[in-house]
Amino acid sequence: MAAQTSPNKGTPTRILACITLDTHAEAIIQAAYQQALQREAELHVLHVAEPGAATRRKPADAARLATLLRKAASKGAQTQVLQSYRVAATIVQVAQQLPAELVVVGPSSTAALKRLFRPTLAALLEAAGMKVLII
Amino acid sequence: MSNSVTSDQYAELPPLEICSAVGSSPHGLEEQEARARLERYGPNSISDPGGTTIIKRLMNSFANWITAILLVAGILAFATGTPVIGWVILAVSFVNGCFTVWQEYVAEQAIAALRNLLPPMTFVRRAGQTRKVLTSEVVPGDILALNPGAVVVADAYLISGDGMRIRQHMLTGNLALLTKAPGALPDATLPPLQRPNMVLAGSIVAEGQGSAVVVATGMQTLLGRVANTTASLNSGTSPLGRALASLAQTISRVAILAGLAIFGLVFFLQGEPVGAALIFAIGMIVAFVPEGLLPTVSLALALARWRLKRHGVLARRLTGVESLGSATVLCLDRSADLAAEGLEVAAVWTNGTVYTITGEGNAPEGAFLRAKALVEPAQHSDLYTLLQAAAIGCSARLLPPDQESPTWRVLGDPAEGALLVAAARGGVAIDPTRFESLQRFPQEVRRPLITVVVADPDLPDRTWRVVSHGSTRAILDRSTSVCIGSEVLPLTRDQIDTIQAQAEAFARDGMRIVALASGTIESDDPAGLRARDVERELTFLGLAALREPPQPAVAELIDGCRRAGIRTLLVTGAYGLLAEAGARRAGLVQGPHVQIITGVELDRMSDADLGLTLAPGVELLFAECDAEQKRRLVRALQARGEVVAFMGDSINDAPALKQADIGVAVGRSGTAVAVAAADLVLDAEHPAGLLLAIEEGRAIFTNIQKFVAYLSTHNLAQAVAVVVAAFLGVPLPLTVVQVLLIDLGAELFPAIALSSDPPEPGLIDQPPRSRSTPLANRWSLIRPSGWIEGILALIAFVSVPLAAGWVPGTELVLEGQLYHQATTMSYAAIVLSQVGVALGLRSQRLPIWQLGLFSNRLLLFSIAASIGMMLLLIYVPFLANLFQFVAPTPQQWALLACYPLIMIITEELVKWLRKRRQTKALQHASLPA
Repeated sequence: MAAQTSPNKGTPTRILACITLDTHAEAIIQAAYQQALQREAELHVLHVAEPGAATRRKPADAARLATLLRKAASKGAQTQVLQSYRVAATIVQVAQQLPAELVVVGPSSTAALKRLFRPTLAALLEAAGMKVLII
Repeated sequence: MSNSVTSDQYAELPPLEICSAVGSSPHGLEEQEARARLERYGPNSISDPGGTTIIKRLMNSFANWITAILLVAGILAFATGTPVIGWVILAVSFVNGCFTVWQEYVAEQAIAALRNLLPPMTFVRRAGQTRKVLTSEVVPGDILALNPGAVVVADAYLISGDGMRIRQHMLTGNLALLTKAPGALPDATLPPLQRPNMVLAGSIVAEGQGSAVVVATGMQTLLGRVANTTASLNSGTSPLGRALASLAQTISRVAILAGLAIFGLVFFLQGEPVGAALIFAIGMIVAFVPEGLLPTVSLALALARWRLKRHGVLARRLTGVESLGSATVLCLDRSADLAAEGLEVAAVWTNGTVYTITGEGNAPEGAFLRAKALVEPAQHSDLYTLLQAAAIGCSARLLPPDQESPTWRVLGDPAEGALLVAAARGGVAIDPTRFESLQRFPQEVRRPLITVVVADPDLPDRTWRVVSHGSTRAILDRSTSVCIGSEVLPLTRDQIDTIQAQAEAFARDGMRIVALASGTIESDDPAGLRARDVERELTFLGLAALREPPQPAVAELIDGCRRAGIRTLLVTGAYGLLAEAGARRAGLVQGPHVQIITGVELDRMSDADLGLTLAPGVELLFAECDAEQKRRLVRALQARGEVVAFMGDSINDAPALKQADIGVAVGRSGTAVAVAAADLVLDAEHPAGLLLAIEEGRAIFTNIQKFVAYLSTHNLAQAVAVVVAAFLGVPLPLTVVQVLLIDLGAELFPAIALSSDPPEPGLIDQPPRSRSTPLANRWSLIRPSGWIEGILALIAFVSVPLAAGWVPGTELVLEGQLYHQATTMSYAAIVLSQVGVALGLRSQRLPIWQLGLFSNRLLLFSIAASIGMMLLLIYVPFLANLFQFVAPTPQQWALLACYPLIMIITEELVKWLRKRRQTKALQHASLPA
């Protein structure tokens, strides 16, 4: 039995989990893992950081990111850390390029007032035609 | 001491003959003889190569191009009547000198660390009595008394010994204990480090006791020779140092040419007196000198060092960080750390499908992947059956983290432990009370498999389960059927061929294969069964591919270097095949064939042959290399034009560490000498920290390029404004004081802030820059932005007489307040245009809207400071009178406010054109001929 494939594109089913360094990261990875297991899909875990973040990040944050990526890899995920000033746009771009059948994200940390002017990541992904699971 | 026998030849002599060869005996030397020998051979210490005074070092530090032109510029500033600027320039030069002296001081700590390796006192036997003497007074012929904990203070041959085991980690970096015993060696060609009858200065006695006769002291010891080699090596000029020198030469030429041209124009075309023209020309020359370059470089390096230190990377020499950014080859001497301990099941094969297994260490959490897609083993009966058999057949135990170990660990055979961990990751947990073990047939030389007979409650009475695992051949020979899904079918020839082909494929990847099979047997007395009774008519279940897991951090480093276009070579003292195995596991060697060159073979090669051997594209590995061979290899790579980084941790590596463009020592296990000879020191547990340093190094160079481009823009703008004005017969649009105020006042802070920009995305994935890449090329010195900025400055200048009623086509005469207001406009035009240049220059590839306005806040503060300073000069009456500024009108400010935007558009247009040209070039290159 081969891995499930998307009905229209003939590519394997892929689940994309987008993590930050906040407390939701583990839950996002676990939820994405469960989804991937159920669908026999590829699991991709993505972290987008601002350029230069590797050395400009606090050592504790760097250690946390390394731990998260290691845990994700041990769950069979293909991990990727990208550097970009436009975090949301980069995530949407990666989700489209994979293409991801489902994108798992954490709750928006954007303040309610700011959301009036700036859409959340989930909203951007949905606008791009992606299925989104918010943890 | 006999002159007819060399120190190496002592190795083949019995202990007493060695004593006699050095004019001694097991009772030791007489005191009088010891004193005489001390006179003859000198003290047993690492001699000081001769220090350099601070003053001399400071003088030497001024002997470079960049400082020379700074000094000349300082003197010229005094000549133009701007002593403040002159003093600032001289202070910058002095600080730079102190910085260089400090760097040299740090670099020379290598030899200082060597001197501290030996204890101040030691025990020797003299005239039949054991005495405590100063280490420096030990002489050839002395008998060293060696007990546990003692440090060997000179090179010596054992004359007696009982269970002696020593550590040579100071010399080799290898913590393993080595057995030493007295007695003649049949082969004296063994290197001193490997001679069992020899103990070397710096070694530590770990177990046993004995005595040894000293054959070499001080600088004649191996330690001393390494010290001598290390001390005699100069670190040489760093790639950044060379680039700075080249930039200084270019700037000197451009500044002098610009000064001469401006003098001619101002004198001949403008008709200014000689004195005024000379002062203006000197002002222009001073303006061309980048006073902020050295502080910028220092700040960029110091900031990078601070950031790296927080991540466990210690930069001993500041320029080392930048040099690493240009490294093209990384030589590694860490073969022992390439793989982690134990075994893991990397993949299993069953029913024609390969499942890869992920997980950390021995933890039971993990995942099964089929072609990258996650699978649940319980949903795949053939896979689940295989994992069940693996768990039943293993006698190893998996223990959870406890006080003794913070991680999961395996008790028992590592291969069986790996199978057990794989089963646990697949969700298979065997209850030992349910599958009671009745018989176990261990592996034998002629029977390469293990078989267990267990009770299975799912089977009928008197029927027992048999599980076997072992070599593919042994399991296939005993199998008659194969498990396909949930069915059991007869094993055909084609299936056997497929299984063997898969086993070979795993073996080619360096995996160790374990085949698994199971069956049932009926018996009333299962405990009385023999192996040949149960190991028959088995059902073949599948294959497990085991490997020694790569050390994740080392694998990350090697992968990162590959992405960064850095060639990685293993250069080690370890044996060839051992090194190759480690290199393969870490991904250092990927092809089926690797050329292993030993130290002896290296010695036989000429420099030309070695250079040819080192050509890229061939997978090479250097084994059994000593200190000098490692250094020669580094030299040979440098001769090929490579920028070499060497990563090592023992004294044996010290000469290579110092010879390399960048020496990288690995922290905790590294010896003091290796650390002192290195430019960078890494945390042993995070060698991948080197990648951070590579990225920082590359960012430093590109940031300095930005700095130079920024300064060149306003220098060119000033020159363009003055030259065009001279040709048009317009009064000079800037005064000499304004030129210097732009240069040293308003522009310095934004320029320095540019040096703190974070690395551009993807910088680490770019190939290393060429050794000859300049900080400023022709295009960065004649940037389009500079021309446009110059024209804008002239437009701002002319806008003042235009507003005052001047009609183009008539003679432009500007005097008094009107002229000062016009020059104020030119000054403000350049300062404000530079705001747009600074923002546009932040990235060579990305447009400003992708960078984010707030991603370099220091630059924003600097721009604000620059504008604030300009406003102070114009609006504070005292300053305005001093520098002859007259405030522009609101309409004129409105014109100036457009300038940053114009410059941003110009910079973005240049980027777009450059990108388009590069894309076209790439397309052209990819077209078939």
